[in-house]
Amino acid sequence: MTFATTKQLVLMTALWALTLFGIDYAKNPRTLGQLLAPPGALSAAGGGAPVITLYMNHLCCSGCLSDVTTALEKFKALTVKSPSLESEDEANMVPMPEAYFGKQIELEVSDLRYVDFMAIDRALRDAGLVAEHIELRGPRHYRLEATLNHMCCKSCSLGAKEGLEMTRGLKSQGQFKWLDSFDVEKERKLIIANARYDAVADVGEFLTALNHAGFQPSAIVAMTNAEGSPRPTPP
Amino acid sequence: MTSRRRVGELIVLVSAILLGSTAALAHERFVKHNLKYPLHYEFFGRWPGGPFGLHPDMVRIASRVASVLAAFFLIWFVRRPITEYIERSLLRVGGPTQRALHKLACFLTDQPVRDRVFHAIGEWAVIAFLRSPGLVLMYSATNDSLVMPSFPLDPASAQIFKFVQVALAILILTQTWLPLCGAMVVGTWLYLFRWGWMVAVDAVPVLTVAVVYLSSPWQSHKLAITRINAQQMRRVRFVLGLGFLALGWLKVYNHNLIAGVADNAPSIMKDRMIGFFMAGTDPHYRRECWVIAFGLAEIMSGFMMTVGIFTRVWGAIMVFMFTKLLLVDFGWDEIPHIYPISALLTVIFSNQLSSETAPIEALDEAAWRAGHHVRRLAIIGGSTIVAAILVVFPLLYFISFFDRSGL
Repeated sequence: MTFATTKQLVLMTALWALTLFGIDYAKNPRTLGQLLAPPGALSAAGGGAPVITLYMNHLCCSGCLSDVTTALEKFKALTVKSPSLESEDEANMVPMPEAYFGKQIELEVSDLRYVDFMAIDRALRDAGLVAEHIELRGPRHYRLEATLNHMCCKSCSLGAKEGLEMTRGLKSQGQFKWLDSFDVEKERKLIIANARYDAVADVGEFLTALNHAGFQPSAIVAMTNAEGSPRPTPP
Repeated sequence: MTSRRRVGELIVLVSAILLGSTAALAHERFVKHNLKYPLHYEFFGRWPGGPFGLHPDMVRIASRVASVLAAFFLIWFVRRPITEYIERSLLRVGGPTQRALHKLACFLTDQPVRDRVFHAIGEWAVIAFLRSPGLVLMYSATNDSLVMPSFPLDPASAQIFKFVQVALAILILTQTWLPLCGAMVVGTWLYLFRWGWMVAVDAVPVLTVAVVYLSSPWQSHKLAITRINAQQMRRVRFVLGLGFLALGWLKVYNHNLIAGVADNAPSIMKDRMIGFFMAGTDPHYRRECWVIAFGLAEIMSGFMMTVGIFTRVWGAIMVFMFTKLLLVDFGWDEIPHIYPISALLTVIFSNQLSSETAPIEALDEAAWRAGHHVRRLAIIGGSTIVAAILVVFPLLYFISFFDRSGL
């Protein structure tokens, strides 16, 4: 019988730890400052005021922006941060390359409790535009709660759960990186997506997954309080 | 291992607990831990007018824990005369009954138990202990986690880490190159510091099995390892105890997490031992007192195991607690508890137990032989009181200076 020497054990342990750190670094390259900072401290998402980013595949000029602003002005908890865009006249005169059609709009959120992402999506669609991705950043620990008007039986909740299992596979393809886990609550007709700490959640991805599972939510809200807490009524 | 080295290790651990400032990156998955109602944070901080600047209820609980710890210490030092007296004077029954009672006395006082069934369970426990980490790693890999289900993998590197865990699990389950497995377990634990010191402290019990792997032969796959020798058992007991001790202080420090778990699974608050520690405290601070009582109870049991005082009794209490959490309170979500349960069973059913109090007992015996009864009293009483105070109060006092409300 031969046993490992102390030298071998120390060497193997150090090499293995370095290998894991190396894999981690190769997959998540970071600056020295980020490397030395406590986890989460330098995250783009964590700890700040909530901000919603709309990824509009078409937002070419101030006319488009005006429609978006008008569509969203009914939401008291949101303030549109207008990006700099060409005027309608300029857009009429100078045709722009395709890549310039798409723009991002940031929405400042004064009270996240009263933001319904489905209402935002509906308002944009009614205005004739659509956001491909609706991202939420800011809260460190939160979940998205999707209310389903239809969830009549156990098979519905099972179907929703099975349908959302696809998110596991899609994670390896770079999607749903923000998603930690999900729960289905048949009694409250809710599908809850728990976001990872400091993650930027893509509500659009969540909605697509729900649609793929065969469900259309009537509301999607971000909750930071205890699970099971009642949803606040908008003022 | 010298006592100076042991003290050094404890200082390193305590420093790590106090100096760190990173929030634990636990997630709302598996065992839910979101606080349903805010705690009274003033309870955990400095309390003007309170003894040592602590809340009176906190001091009450700590005093009770220290008293129980002292009582066990005291009984430990006089266990031999007590068992001899009971066996020879009170239980002069003879035959199988006396043999059974003798075995029971041996079990309770950490003496070798000469019994076929006990021995067989011990062998089985070692097999389960050495292999259960493989099952836990497989479970974690299938749940996008690293080592424990409460540590979610980063999506960018998840695929590689999952394969790595499965590879390590295969090595463990086939008992191949155990020294390498030990190095990989320790190396993985070191990597957990990437996610904050609280995560690494939380995972200290994982190192228990590593000490056995590291001291196993390279040809481990050809062997049926069913026994752990005295030296290995001492290390297992030490690391396991230190792990629980660290977890206990982590509960006191990061009170929101354990209070959140209790909010979501109130049944865990119904524990008689914890109930005893927090009896008579202000009902207004019920959850806060429970957090402190739970944390200190874990510290006490971890310390007893580290030092080797009534190891089997405390091990059995912890097995009961983990089994209850697994089968009653949380169910499937706590299935990885098969690992600490098998580790504790290995300790409980080992006939290689030792105690770190041997030097004190040697001094006591020398004083007894010399007929110095006052010196005996001073040795036993002094070490009991000093241990009870040092284990509970200093760190509780220091932690109260840190604002942990935002953790």
